[in-house]
Amino acid sequence: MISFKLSERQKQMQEMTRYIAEYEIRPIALAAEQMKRVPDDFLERMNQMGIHLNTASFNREKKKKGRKENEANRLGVIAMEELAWGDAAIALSLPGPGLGGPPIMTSGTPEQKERFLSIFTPDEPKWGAYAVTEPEAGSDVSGIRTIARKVDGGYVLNGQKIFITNGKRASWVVVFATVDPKLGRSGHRAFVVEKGMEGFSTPKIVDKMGLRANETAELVFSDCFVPDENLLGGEELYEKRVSNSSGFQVAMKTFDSTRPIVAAMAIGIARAAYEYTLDIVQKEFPKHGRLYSVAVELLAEAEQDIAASRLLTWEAAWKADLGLENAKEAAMCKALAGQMALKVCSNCLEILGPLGLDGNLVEKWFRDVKVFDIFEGTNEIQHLVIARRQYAPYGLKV
Amino acid sequence: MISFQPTEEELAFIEIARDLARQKIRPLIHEKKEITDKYDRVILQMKELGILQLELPEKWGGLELPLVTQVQILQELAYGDLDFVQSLPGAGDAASLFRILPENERSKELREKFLTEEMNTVAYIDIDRSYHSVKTSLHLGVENLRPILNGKTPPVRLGETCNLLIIGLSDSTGNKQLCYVDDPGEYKIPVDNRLGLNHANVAAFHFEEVEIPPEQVIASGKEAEIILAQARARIQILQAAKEIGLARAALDYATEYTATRKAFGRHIAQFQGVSFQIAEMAIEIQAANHLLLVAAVTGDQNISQALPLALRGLNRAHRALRFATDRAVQLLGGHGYIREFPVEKWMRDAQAQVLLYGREKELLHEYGEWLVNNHKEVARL
Repeated sequence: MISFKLSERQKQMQEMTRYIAEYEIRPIALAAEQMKRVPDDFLERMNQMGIHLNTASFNREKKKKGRKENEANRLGVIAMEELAWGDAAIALSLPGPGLGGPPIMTSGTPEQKERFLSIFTPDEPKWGAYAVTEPEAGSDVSGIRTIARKVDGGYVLNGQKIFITNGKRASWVVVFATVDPKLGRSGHRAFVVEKGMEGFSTPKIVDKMGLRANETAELVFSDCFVPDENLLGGEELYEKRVSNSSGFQVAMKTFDSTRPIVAAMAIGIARAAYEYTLDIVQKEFPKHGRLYSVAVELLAEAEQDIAASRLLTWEAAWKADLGLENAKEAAMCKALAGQMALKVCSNCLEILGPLGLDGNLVEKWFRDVKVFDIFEGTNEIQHLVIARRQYAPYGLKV
Repeated sequence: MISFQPTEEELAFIEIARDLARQKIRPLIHEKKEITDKYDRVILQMKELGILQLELPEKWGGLELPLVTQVQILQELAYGDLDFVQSLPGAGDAASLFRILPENERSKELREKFLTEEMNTVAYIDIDRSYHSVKTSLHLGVENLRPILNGKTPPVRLGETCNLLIIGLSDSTGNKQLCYVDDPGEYKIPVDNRLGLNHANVAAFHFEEVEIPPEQVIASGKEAEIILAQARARIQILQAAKEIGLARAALDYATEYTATRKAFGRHIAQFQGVSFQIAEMAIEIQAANHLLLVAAVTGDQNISQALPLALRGLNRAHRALRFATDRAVQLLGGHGYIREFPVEKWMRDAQAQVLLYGREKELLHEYGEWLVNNHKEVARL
């Protein structure tokens, strides 16, 4: 049955994350941006409370009779919208496996899942990270050039990754590399590179337009030896599926569950800007005249865009929970949410006028949100993914 | 629990509607209604299947389906051709009014009138919400406690063929009135409609000192206001569903065309300037569809709570419809502009539909005012 009612668990998750966003995250947002870091004591407290950056998992099995319906992806998007409403940079800095979680969940061996995911305990905040992007390969994942050379007992990695969220502080990073660039996608492999491994360094944290409290790192691999047991899924995964270019598929499958999360964050930011501005219009604007008229229309459009994006995001997460193919829906929600969130923040600034220049959260959100139309696949890549699905029934590859 | 899965019953309805739309309705696009009886045969088949009475209450001879079921069926039907769906005889938009009317002597009388064999088509207009800007528009004077109609209505769907015209409007004292005019044919004035929905039997009415007998006033004052508002929300939801159906038709037609058409030695879909537009259409339509579903689900629970959501749903459907039909014409290039292909008709129909059911900007403005004057919680719906 079509329903938009949250389950009890979903409601609880929403209420809890909303509370944390409002009373823990939002009050330190501007200060964290200025410091360009999230205070350690805050991260420790969040970790103890079990508030993690966990981007859920993709359920590849259809629901079996009698088994409780998986709602991990829906819970994930509901939580991330709320946390990003508090502050997206802080939400992205929360301890947890982050974007590295889904590839381990979908492709890791049972031993790897245990080894890499069990480190996230209340004792000490820890992070995971996910590294695909390179200086010469962003949207075109198939073009990665980080080399993995097979040696006795493992692989030696050489290359560079950029724009890696929490890359420096992460205990491990899922790194995509190629055993031979000539093999294209079928040469891809995913490795879990652990902090402290010889030859692995994080020389640079980049300065950004927004999300300044969140760490975005550059990773360098110089003859970095990674043991066989850190090849995600083990050799069997690639031997079995070499014709299906499985390393590439791991990356793509990851996007199906991370894109709705990223979309949910963009929605949280847009909602924050919308609510802030609506409040000002309600309290301070005269209820007539040209300015009021403009504000009313822009707010109506913003609210509508936010709701529409949220519903697309929920649909993508719902499909993932049911184990249904959701690449198109994941791309749709990311494409709409990324673009609309920037538009909403920009229009809110338009309504606020010069007010927006003076230590204002909306201008921060405007800077923060732009990247949501870029990372986890640019808007153009999302359009490509959608178009491919649209033309698939006609046997045409676009 | 959040779910986008239709019920088994809905899926069965959808399948019937889909077959009808693709096999019976779509082929009629190039038929001249005046010289074929194919229209009547399809309409008869739809009547037998109950498709013409989805919204009507059971007491009024209908299926009384939930809004969420109806929107899925209507989308499928309008995928065949919106113009055809808008031309269907029966209660039309008034079905939503009948759904709301309280059971009393007047509504019983009206029902009996509607259920007589010759009474088969109803036109309905809510004048205060028709977004009509002409000064000579219809108004209801009250003289010696007798309501008198004067002035012109804007064009009304099914006006040309209706046996009964139901009007909602404010009288000269500012009170809402809901009344009907029996056999309104003599007040009918033709509309030179060249834009679109050419089969939807659009006509206007001109009244001069026409007295409404007291028994033809269905509701007044606050009661009329509530009925009109709730009927309006239902109508907006159902119309939005039809719009999304047509928008999907435009998307699919353009997708198929661009998948087969070649230029510069390639399928034109392989140019991103083309394929990205298809992706954009798909996003816009899906977004509008989901906003509509929220309005429908909420409306089934409590129609009063769905009023702003219906407004939002129709506004977004208008936007998706105009965008998708315009893009479809554009993607077909010169072929899109000629009448041999259906997309130019769909673009015209889309524009006509928007004119009949409320300007996009006006709906947006009204919704915005509601947001500013009410609360912000709606952003979380």
